[in-house]
Amino acid sequence: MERTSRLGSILLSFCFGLVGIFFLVHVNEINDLGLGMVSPRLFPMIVSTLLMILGFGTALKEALSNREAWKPSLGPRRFRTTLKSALNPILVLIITIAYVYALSYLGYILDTFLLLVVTSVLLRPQNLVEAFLISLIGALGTFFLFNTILMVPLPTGIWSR
Amino acid sequence: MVSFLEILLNILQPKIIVVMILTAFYGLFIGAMPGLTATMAAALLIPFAFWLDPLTALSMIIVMDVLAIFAGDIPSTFLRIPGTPASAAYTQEMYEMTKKGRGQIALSISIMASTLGGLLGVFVLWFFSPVLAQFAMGFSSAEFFWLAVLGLSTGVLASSGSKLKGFISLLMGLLIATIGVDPLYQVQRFTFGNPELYGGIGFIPVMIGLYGISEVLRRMYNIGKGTHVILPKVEYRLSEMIKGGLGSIKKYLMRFSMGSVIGVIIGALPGAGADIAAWLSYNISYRFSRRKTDYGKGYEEGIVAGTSANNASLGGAWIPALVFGIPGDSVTAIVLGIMMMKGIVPGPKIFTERADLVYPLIVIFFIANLLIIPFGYMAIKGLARIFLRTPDYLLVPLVLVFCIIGTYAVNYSVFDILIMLIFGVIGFFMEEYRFSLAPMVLGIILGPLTEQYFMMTALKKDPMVFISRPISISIILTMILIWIAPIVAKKLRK
Repeated sequence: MERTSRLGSILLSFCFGLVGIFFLVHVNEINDLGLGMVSPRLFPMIVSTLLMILGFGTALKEALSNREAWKPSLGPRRFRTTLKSALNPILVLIITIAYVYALSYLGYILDTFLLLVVTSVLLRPQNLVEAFLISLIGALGTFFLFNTILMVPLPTGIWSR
Repeated sequence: MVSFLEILLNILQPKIIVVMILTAFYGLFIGAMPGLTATMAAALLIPFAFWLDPLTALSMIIVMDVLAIFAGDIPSTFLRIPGTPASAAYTQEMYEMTKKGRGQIALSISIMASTLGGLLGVFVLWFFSPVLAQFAMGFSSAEFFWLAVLGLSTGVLASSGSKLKGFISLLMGLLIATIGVDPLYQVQRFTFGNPELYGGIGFIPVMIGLYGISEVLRRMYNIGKGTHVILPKVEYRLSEMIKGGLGSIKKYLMRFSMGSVIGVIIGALPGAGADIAAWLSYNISYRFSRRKTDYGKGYEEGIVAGTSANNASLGGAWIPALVFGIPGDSVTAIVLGIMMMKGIVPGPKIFTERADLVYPLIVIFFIANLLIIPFGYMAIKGLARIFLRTPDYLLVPLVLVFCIIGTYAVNYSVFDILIMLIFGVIGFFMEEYRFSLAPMVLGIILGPLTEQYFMMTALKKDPMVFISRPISISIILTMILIWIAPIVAKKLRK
């Protein structure tokens, strides 16, 4: 368990180092207005340099501090995350992205209702009818609350055209 | 000077009482909804303010603001999603208490510390406004810069787990804060030609993503793994909650006093609000705590420090607004707009020339803080039942929808929802691999201020400007004291 946790930590630290490099490379694209040192580039340059150093440094530190765990004598690596456990969050993300893109077509009420129903089903509801009803009330209730009371203009979709 | 009787007669009008009750409910609702901020709620009240007399209009904003800042703790406690940015600092503590079956006690501490901290802020507003305003106005860019550094460094020191990882998290936050138009030169940075990024990455989508969406993903993940955490459905009687809340304040009286004082001072500084006050207080409390290892695991001390500071800062924020016409935070900026709309000119003479308005407003501030107790307990009793008894297959999808709509409501932007999802994923992985989220949030809040004041000071071309003024030196010394005092004390105890 410790071993996989370390691997994830090393990878994440490495990613932060890469983010630092990415920003550092793009710092040069910022217009410095001919100001020299004290320009709009200065602060992001300092921060991204530090992030790059610390990101890679932490990745290296984590890798070196756990060298024993990488020896082959420990046998095959066992990952904590299985496809089964990762499936639900991945599906929720895909569904939510689809929801965002469908919002302007389907409108808030229908789109939200579908999101609520599908997410409830993923969580294995004990009572499907209850989940269906709560989804309907949730979609209508939040529309009334935000659109009518708080005056947030929610998309109405193709139905209003 | 007006007599107390006149003040009471001014306030005890049916119209004002009805408006206060309605806006108390409104504030509770706004605070308890992730994504909806007190600033947005105040902005929505402007059309009503137009039709009301100045006292009623400003009372409306005060009551809403006080109740909303308290209510931000409710979703923190049951969902681990801060209702307002001011609750983010101690969200983890609140949620961990819920996991131990003590969520209602955590909220009870919040009620009592918010009320008493808020009352202290009102007391300072009444008696020390001119003195504190003068002190706050003495801050130059160098002092603001050091104050921001103090906040950032204590944030890293108070982060759970590896401080190195905490520092990386902070740098990520600072870097995200640089996206968009530069605050000083108005130059675009890291926008990559995308107009949606010109205004920068909003704090609300990031915060909801890091705390809300990552929590939704975690619950889905844990259900798939079969390691789902079921929150204990323990409910307390009202008397037990009051006793628990008061008991904690008595036990951590030093932290409460420190939090309230920090809140008032930070509130009085222009541009710094309840969120920064709560972070600073929580972090300093951690730094001087003898039980550092208990932080992040549902420790009451951290809650007392944070929640007393955010409500105390509300009174503090009115000080520069009333005395100099400079807003202490975003809500008082709206307050100043309403005052201008009503022809009221803020300034040092407002306490004498418009005593008929200012003193009743201070009393309303006082009453608003007391309203936290009945309205707060009502909200806890009602919402605890909903949050604790609703099964996950109903609660999690609804939380997801509220996260989405709360994010959308800030700028009516679908792009913000995508940002929220990205940060949800980042937050999920960061927590999974023990990177504290708090420094990142703090970096995003304090990043623009830190950079702005750093650049303003650096432009003076003399590095000595950073350390030449007495207040700068005091802040630097305080910072060093915060860094080393606990280490020295530990060594001395040995």
